[in-house]
Amino acid sequence: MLENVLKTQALAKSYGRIKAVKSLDLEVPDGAVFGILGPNGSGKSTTLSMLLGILTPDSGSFSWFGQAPEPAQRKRIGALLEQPNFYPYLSARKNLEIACLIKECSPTRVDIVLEQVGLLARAESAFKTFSTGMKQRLAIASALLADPKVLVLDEPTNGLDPQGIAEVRELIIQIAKRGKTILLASHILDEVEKVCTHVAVIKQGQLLAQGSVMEILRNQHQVELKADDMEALERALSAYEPAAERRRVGNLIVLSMTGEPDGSALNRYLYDQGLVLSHLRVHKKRLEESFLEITAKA
Amino acid sequence: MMRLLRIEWNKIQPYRAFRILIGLYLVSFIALPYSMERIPFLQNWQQLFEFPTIWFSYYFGAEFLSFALAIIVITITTNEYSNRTFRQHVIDGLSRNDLVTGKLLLMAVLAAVLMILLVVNGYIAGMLNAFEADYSGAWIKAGYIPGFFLHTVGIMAFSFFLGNLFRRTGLAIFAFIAWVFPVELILRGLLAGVAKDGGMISDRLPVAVIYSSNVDMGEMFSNPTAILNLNEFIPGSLGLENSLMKIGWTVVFFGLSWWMIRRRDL
Ligand SMILES: Nc1ncnc2c1ncn2[C@@H]1O[C@H](COP(=O)(O)OP(=O)(O)OP(=O)(O)O)[C@@H](O)[C@H]1O
Ligand SMILES: [Mg+2]
Repeated sequence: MLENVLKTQALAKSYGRIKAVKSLDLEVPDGAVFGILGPNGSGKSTTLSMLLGILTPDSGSFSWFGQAPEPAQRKRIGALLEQPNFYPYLSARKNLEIACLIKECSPTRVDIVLEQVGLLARAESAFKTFSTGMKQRLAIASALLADPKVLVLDEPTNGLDPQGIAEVRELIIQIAKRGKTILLASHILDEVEKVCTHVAVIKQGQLLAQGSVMEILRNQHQVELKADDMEALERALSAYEPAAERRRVGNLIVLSMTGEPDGSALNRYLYDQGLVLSHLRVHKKRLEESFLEITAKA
Repeated sequence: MMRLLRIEWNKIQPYRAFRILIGLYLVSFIALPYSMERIPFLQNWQQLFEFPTIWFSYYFGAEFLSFALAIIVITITTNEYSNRTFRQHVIDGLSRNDLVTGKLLLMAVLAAVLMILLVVNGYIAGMLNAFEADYSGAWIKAGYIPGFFLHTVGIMAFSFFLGNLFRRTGLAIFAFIAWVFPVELILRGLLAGVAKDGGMISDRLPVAVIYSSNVDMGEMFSNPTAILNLNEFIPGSLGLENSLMKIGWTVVFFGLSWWMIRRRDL
């Protein structure tokens, strides 16, 4: 049984003086929907480009399916990297036929994937006549062409309408259910949270956290607080032990709790220090908050 | 190999610019031996389009048409960069070597097909132009037939190299024209001035080599004895030295292209 579909070791790449990726170690388990999260310019696309053979790493290594990288492996990887790349003067069908020859898949797949992305009716139209969203759909069709074991998607919902976004997410979930591994780069947290089983958070080319979505969300609960005297509240909370993290968000103070939060204990603790709360809310933490916390720390 | 060739053919066959350019080229290429015989630029011009000199004349005339092939190769090469399709091919599973091999195969097949066309069409034109139905000496100067293949592959290799180097269609075509007309000529002049053996070096510059027909055209047009005896004045082929140099530049241009594509971030 194959443990990791993909493993990178100390992967690094610079563009001149800009260090786009710094010593990245990733492990993508078989069957995972693995999200790579990071703000703009954090090196997500650069990382995926190295994994797909179009950029040469400055140092470090990676392996697909437990083997050193080689071009033939990529026939079994479906990928959509940044913008769709096709011959503008060729029809959708002809473009996919070329991809099919490269990937050595059955020509009958062309109609199947066109149907899957809802482009079958426009199969004979030239690529250049497509709208942004249609181009993106064609790129997704191309990624699905060889019925790949692994899908690599770099911001796959870019340029899609809400309907398209929902469809692509549903497609990702369906594909994942068939036991495929998916590597998804995004800065849309909602997207990652909805579909991913694992995440890696990177910032400025550096890995900040990696693990299952459960692990990343292990500080699961948050408490929002508000009082008339915010400075006093902040001072009082700095010594409050059950809180792992304290952040100021707008006119609220948000605590990340280490264990199960006890609202009444917290309220009593503050009341004992002469503080009366005007707002107290306990809720489960979302990926967005974890992400902001992780990237703010670095 | 057939797969790479099919990929290349699928890309260019529906491409309008390719169809127009190759169509124009083919029409001129086929008309060439019939039309040029009507241009009496030499006293003894009829001889040029009779057997066996026709192989030289066809070769020589076709050299001018190769400009269209250069534009075609530059365009389809730079398109791979502007459409980012070289990049997509690698993502899809081709190796970087495959990118070069595909284009190399396409050019070799194109040159081979054109060579066969040259043989068939040249033979028909030679028969029509012959005084008497004696074709025994028809193939004496047939050495220009493989010579045409070497010329065609050479000019396409040069164009492929420029396409990879500049990656932008306009820029690469400009570079091609600039190199063919002023740059190489200036280099030749400079080299002739600098080195004692300047002629030796300047005759080895790429366009001079690829366009060499092994005949001193200036001499041919000005020397009366040459004109009267074209058959003897014109050799039977490009000769070993020029053939090897044509192959040499082809290897250099493909080698450099291969090196660029290997090293580059696509
Ligand atoms: N071709 C290039 N030349 C120079 N610098 C580049 C190039 N491509 C990317 N970079 C730089 O590398 C860094 C990482 O870029 P990358 O495209 O990998 O980020 P990203 O995480 O994909 O961002 P986004 O979310 O905006 O897509 C950025 O600082 C960017 O400016
Ligand atoms: Mg990106």
